[in-house]
Amino acid sequence: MFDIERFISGLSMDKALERLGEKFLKSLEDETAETFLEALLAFMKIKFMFDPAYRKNIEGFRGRYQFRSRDGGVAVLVKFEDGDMKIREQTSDDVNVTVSFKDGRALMNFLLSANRDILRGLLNNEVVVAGNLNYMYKFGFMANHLQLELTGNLP
Amino acid sequence: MVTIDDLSLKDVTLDRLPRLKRLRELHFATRPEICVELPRNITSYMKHLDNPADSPELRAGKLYKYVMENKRPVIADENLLAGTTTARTIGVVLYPDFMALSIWPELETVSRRKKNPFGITREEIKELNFDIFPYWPDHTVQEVAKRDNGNPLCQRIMERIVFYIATKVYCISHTVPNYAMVVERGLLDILREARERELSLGGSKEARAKKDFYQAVQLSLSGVISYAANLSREAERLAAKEVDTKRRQELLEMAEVCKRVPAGRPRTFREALNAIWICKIALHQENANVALSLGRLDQVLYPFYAEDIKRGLTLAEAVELIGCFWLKIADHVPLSPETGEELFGGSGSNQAVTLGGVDMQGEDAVNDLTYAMLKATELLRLRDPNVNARYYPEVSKKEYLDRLCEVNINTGATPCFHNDASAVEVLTGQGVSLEHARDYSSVGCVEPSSSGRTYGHTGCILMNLTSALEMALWGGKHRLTEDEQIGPKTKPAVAMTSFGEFKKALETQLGWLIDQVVTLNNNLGRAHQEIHPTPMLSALMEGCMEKGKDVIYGGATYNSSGAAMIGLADVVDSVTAIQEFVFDKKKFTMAEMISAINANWSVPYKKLQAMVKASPEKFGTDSRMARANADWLIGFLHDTFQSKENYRGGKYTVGYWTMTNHAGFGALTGALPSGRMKNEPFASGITPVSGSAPVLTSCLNFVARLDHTRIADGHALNLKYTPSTTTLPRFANTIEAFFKMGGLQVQFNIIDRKTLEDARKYPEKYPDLFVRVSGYTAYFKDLNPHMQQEIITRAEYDLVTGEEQKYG
Repeated sequence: MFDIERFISGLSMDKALERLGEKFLKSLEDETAETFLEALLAFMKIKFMFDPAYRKNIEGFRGRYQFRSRDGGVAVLVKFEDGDMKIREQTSDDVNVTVSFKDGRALMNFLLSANRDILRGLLNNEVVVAGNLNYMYKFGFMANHLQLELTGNLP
Repeated sequence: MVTIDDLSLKDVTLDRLPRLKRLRELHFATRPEICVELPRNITSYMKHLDNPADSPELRAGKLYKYVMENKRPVIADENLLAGTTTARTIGVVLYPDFMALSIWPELETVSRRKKNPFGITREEIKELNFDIFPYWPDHTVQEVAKRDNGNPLCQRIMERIVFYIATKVYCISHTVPNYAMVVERGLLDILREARERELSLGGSKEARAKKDFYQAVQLSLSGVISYAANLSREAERLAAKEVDTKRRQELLEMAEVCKRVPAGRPRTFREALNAIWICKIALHQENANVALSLGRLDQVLYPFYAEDIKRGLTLAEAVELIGCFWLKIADHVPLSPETGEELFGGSGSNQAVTLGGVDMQGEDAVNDLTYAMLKATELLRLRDPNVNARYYPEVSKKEYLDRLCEVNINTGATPCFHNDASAVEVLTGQGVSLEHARDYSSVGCVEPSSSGRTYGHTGCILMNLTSALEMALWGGKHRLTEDEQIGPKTKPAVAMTSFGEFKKALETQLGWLIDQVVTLNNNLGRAHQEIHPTPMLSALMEGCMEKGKDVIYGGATYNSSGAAMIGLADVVDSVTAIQEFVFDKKKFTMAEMISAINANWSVPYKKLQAMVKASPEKFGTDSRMARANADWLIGFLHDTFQSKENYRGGKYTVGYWTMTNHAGFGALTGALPSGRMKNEPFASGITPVSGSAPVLTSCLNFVARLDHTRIADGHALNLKYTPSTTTLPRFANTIEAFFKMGGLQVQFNIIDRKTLEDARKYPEKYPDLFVRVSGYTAYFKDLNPHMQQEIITRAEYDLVTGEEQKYG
């Protein structure tokens, strides 16, 4: 994972949001979406830091998510606690839900509603979720919201 | 008793019933909207008022009293009956402890999705996201069962989708409540009985549990009575400001009806209908409506109808009231997230109404109301209710069968037909008394169940038979889940040297899959016992009051669990192809067969595929080989499921009806030894694969001669007849002949491919075109593309030649 603190250091709040938003959108357009998870988590974190309306999503919420790529190249632990989001490159069994994915594109296809190809995801066995699915649904809402907001498609 | 001369009621038309016409137009013009009232009330209660120290039954009783007392009384259109399932014209109900949270990721897109969008406001999205859903992630039936059982393998397998679905994560449903109790006694009398039974008990531990149950019944029923009182007050309020004299009078009458029922015993047909409707609404607050069926309404309501006719009610007025009831039943749609839509979409709530047949003494029970209900069905052509007609050869009248066929021709898709003689035999074979068996109704799609006294959860398991076939071919692995060892390790098919060895491997994999899904169903049932008792359903189920037990603890007189098998004909044809070509004729090796299906029967294997497909050894033909394999498979499934006990002490039964699951599971499944290509839909229900059973009489013979006593959860034989060849006598004769051979159930689409193709291309031209899917009816436009394709390519028979019309 890249260093978010360093990436936004010296930037104003608006600029930081803009830069990470751009990075997130760019990751969606990339053919392999290799950086999708990294960009999503980084943008999510910065939104929680600077956007009180979005932060409301995790107020009073405790949840631990393990994301890992099938090839072992990515293993990220995401913790939500006391209105804060922590991202660590590590594996843990003490989580509410574990998401194993084939590649970034597969994870994107699984998480985001827009242009989703559900059948492809299922047929290619692209994403396997283990644990409490409801935590995944919540994360799915937060991820979709970001994309809809950035693309001006919120209802 | 039948007293009317014109069984078709030709004088009763929609033009002469303008109210029904307008309500029908409104129904089709309305987009379903998500309603947050129920999850709001449930969540608010659980957060602030629930007492975890109470027993599960008592908690449920208090909760549903609160839910019903706080349910908004809505009277928004000119329907003559009061009460609505949701606060919307057509609402989508969310059950937070079942699967409501599955829509969470899509809350901000669901109103704009391409297929079957649901309306929702910005405020409702916020309320669900911030206030309602966050309470539930650790409290749903699915997650409680997972937690209590350490995330067992059986549940992890379900989450891979392709093996089976256990529907207890969605509902406690697929049953027929005892509505006769509602109209013969009224809720106050049931409440009084619960009170008396409670007071008669001592202080033992067992007595305390029963006391809690009786208290829960009283609490929830008092909630229903409060809701009716609120409806009455709302009708009075609206009447007071209504300027139209006729409408004001209707509202005042509605207020009087709701003052009386369902608390008291109804006096009129209208009161009886409204009493049942209010109870149905209440049951629907307690549980998702997944085939919460209505039973034999023509029998239950006949005394009220007959009395009113004597008092001057006209047939047209009766049809109008029934039509109002039918439209009320259609006032909601089930929640379906995108994945559900993609794979299994288009289903309604599958609320079956059962008409005709014989009474408990075995006498013809068809009456004037049967025909009035058929007329309302014919006029409205709605997806719900799913109308099921019972027919007893040589007891039921021929003119009744003719009328049923006429309605089917005019509507294109309803009713479906059940053979009383076979259904009664099925039920008595499961230990149901003869009188109770004769009083059966259809649940959901097609499942026979003794009315109001059976908790059979007849659709609790939907199992993909082809997934066991896959595992038999690949030594316990499945192509979709790749290298994972899912089932037990059996010898890979390429190493098998006899057909017997292959069958043994298939039995091993089927047996293992059945173990898994039964374990899961029982785990989920115990989760229901922990967090979701059902006092309202229990109050309206024979047996519960006597035993002092909730339905989910085995309170009903009869207890069972029903498992529907998906892909029967595809598996039989695949097994038969392996027997014929690999082991008997040795036309190719098992290795070649495996390579062919791995290559999706592509170019090097086209000749082999043509050979397999051209073979007459198929399900639905005169083939002895296919028959023997079908008998073996059906026998094995029945015996294995029957050897298991459910969490209520009942047996598992097996059925062959598929809703839209044959298309969904088919879309996930690779090519099969039968010659079927990757992703093609499976054959529906107990129907032969399209193109494999070219002769209608052979097809009917084949299915009729299967041992229906081993198909205790019912079956759906889906046939399509070419409209131009479907005359009444020919149509009726095929049904009569099928039933006399022992056939259990059959249903028809009387529609040609050209119309269906046009409807697929121009859905806006066919907003109300409805079709039989596999058990129930659906609007064609709502079905997903796989399902539309399956209906279009489904075998279509020409009744003049008796042969299948070739597709393409």
